[in-house]
Amino acid sequence: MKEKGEGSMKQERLDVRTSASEKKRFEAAACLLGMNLSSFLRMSALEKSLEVLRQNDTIILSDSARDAFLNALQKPPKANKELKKAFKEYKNLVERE
Amino acid sequence: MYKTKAIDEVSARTYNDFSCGIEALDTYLHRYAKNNHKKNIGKTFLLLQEELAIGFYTISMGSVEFQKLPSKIQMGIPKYPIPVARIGRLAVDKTCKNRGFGKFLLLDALARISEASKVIAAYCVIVDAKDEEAANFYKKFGFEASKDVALALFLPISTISELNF
Repeated sequence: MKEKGEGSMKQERLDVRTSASEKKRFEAAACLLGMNLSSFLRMSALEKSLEVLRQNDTIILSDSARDAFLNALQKPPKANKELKKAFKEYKNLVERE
Repeated sequence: MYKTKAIDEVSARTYNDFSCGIEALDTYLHRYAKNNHKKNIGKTFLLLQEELAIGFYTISMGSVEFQKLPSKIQMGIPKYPIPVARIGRLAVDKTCKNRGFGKFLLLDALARISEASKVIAAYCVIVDAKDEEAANFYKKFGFEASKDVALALFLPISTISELNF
């Protein structure tokens, strides 16, 4: 489902302050891709947003970290003393709503 | 007795004066946390003492991917990327440090994740520690540092479900 302002429903405005030289550079790049400035800026911001959101959500592990991680998932450790103690204190003192 | 509540259940007065001393975290709580909570970007919960926030943390869902898949098919991963619950931005008010409230926040987060994991698959909890001191705090409770990302520490859900929340 599309939200307002996405896709063809362009209902929101974005005003961005920039310097003359930055603007020229954006226009030159947009021109090279055969896009108008507005589409180019939206596309660039969308790409960057996806990258940031993805980095925020995803952890990518190398081979050795992967093996350690999978090993822990398959043989999960028992809750240690500190965790059990903290759990008791928490249960006695904190009410979860 | 202390209470924990979701941020959308309290007024901004509850947490407007909260300050942990790290500006980025304070700003997040004051300006973005409630909105992100409502938009399901990250869920924020507050630790309250007499209706004032003395700590908070945020939970979101995330995933773990591998640069390369393991050569032999590993048993026990029914889903890839692996869905995980992430705890981030855990902070205590600077007037209340060193009194064990960080522990309460962590346990509250684990309790809520443990409940959620009964209905939504998550294999593991990952915390994002802001520095080594924070990482050591989590290690005490059994979290293991990931080999590449020393400040991302994990604990399998099965370890937590052993506790009777």
